[in-house]
Amino acid sequence: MSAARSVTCPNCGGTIAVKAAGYSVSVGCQHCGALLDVAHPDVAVIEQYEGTMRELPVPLGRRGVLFGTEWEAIGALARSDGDVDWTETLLFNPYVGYRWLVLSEGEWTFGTMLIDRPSGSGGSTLWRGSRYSQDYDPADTVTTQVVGEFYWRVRAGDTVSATTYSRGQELLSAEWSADEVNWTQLIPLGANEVEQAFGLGMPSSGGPRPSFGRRGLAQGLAAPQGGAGPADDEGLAGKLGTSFAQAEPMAHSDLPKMFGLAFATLMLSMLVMIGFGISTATVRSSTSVVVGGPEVTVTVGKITVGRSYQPVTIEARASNFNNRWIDIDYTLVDRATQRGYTAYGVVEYYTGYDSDGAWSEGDFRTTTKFSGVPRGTYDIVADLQAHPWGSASYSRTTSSANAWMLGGAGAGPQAGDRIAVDLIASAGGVMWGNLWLELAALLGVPLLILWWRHQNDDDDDD
Amino acid sequence: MAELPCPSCGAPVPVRSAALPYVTCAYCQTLIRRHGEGLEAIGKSAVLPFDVSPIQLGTTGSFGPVRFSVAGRVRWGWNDGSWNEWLLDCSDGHQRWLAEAMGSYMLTQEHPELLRRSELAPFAAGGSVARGTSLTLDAEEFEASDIKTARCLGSEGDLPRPTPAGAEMLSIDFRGTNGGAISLQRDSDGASAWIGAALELSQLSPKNLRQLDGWSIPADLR
Repeated sequence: MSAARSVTCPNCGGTIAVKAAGYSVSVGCQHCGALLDVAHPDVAVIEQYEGTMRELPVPLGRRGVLFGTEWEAIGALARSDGDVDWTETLLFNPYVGYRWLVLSEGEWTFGTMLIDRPSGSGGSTLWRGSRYSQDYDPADTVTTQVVGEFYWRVRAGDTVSATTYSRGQELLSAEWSADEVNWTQLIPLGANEVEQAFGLGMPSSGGPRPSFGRRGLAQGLAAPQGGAGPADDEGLAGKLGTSFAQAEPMAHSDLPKMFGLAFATLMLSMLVMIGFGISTATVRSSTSVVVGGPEVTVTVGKITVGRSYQPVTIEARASNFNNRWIDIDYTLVDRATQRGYTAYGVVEYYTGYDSDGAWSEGDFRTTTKFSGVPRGTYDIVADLQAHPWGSASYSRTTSSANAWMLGGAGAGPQAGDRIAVDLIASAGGVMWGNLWLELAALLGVPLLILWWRHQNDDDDDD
Repeated sequence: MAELPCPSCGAPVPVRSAALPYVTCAYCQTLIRRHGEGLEAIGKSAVLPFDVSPIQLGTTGSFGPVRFSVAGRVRWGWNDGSWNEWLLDCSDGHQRWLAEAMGSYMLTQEHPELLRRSELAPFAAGGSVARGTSLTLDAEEFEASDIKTARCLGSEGDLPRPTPAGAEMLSIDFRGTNGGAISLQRDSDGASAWIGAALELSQLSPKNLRQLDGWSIPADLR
């Protein structure tokens, strides 16, 4: 959950959380690709695209720590100088400002805009007492794609002259247009460092298939409920069994106490959770969304958070479907301040055959939780988009102007069928996910001991 | 702190420094002037749009031996965006502005004598200066890099001069080779010149920054 200003895209109706509210001027809509002017209260479309964007080097909204500071990826540019295409991800922290994460030909660099001006030009330049030598003659650099939010008026087609000066591994990049000159210091970063910081390229739990949905799994703010707990891991149970076997002096009479204590703790937790998070209201709404069709925006309803920080839970239940996924962006918009809180859910279900035979994966329902929403009255808005899973939606175009797959959203042989979705939201609500985790944690050890003893008894009987 | 009722809505308005005669009512955004023992409504400000500025009224900090506390803010908008000017009430008795735009900061203090420089004569005479106009000050080279007309979007807290919503200002920024900054401003009250430096927020050792939902305040800014 994060402070943001919510705006509605005038082109597609999608809700966009502007993270750097007050600084951001241009927004490339993540839903439809339209370029928007958010400098003023009335949001205006500057330029329209058809289709949606995906496949960014760092997903927008993803956070990572670099140089001891937490950064959120809020915008991305695809740029080209004719020879090389590269991407620049705009990072933001409200307490520190902006930085750049540049990915060019597999190499990452971290960019900081200079507040002072290097002096001299031509073959070399002087900055803070050190001399940097020019790497190449100035070349025209064109911005080919824009997505996310930016603090200046940006648009595809923007062209500047650019060159770099280097001193060892450190680069100074100079870019100038008719209006201004910008200097940026660039420091090389290891790919591992960036991938670990932002959780990039991590294998998803589903195996070899691509990660589904626009944001992948680790969306950070309020991720959909996780899957199975650790209880069914035989290896872990086995190891614990062994270690308990070595920790011999555990009297039989302790077990009832452990169970008793676990249940007492659990009941107390439930009482506390219910006491603090009791449901004040439930609102629901039904809608339907066309696979491969446009995004649907639905207002789930108005909900009031009476306590200072309370959870808000939204469940999405879809009608039956197969090999489809539905991205759902939820926004809670505070009626008093228009401040928005965003979270993401995905409903997905796939079946297929592989060497092991038939498989299926996913669920027709998903629960998304905002863990601590401040007191206030909120409108809950959901943006839904259904996608077919299959080659049609992943066909990759290679032209640089279409680097991020600005494909037509309505295309594809599987498109067209309609999925009904019920959305049920409630403020408060017991955090059942936490309770199950607690149950597993409290009962896990005594149950393991029971199981281990049972095994031993069996052995004795033989 | 003493309080007087807002002449427009009756809400309590804190009475602070006599050097800051203007205050924006936090409840109804009426722009108020203090005179003697009373308050007078002189115009209307506006509700400030939500922004992610880490600064708030009451944020404190220091630079060199000077300590400051943030007493007021004016938000300015122009064609391509907007920025904040935070008024710093400083322990050396001076007022300074901390301009905040796009996550970067510029701290300036008024220097009226700068308006007598020949390079700035066209500005002092009521016109503007060309982009790229250069100026040398204390061996640092400055260049006019940013010239724009801005409109006041709203204000909060205490202010030295009245800036009702909609008030216009011509703003010219010079950047120096060593991070120095010069700001020229002209509004209906006349021209003023400010000298300072671009800096990072951490250089001001700020305390009592605003807590933004979803972000933790970095350790060096607490």
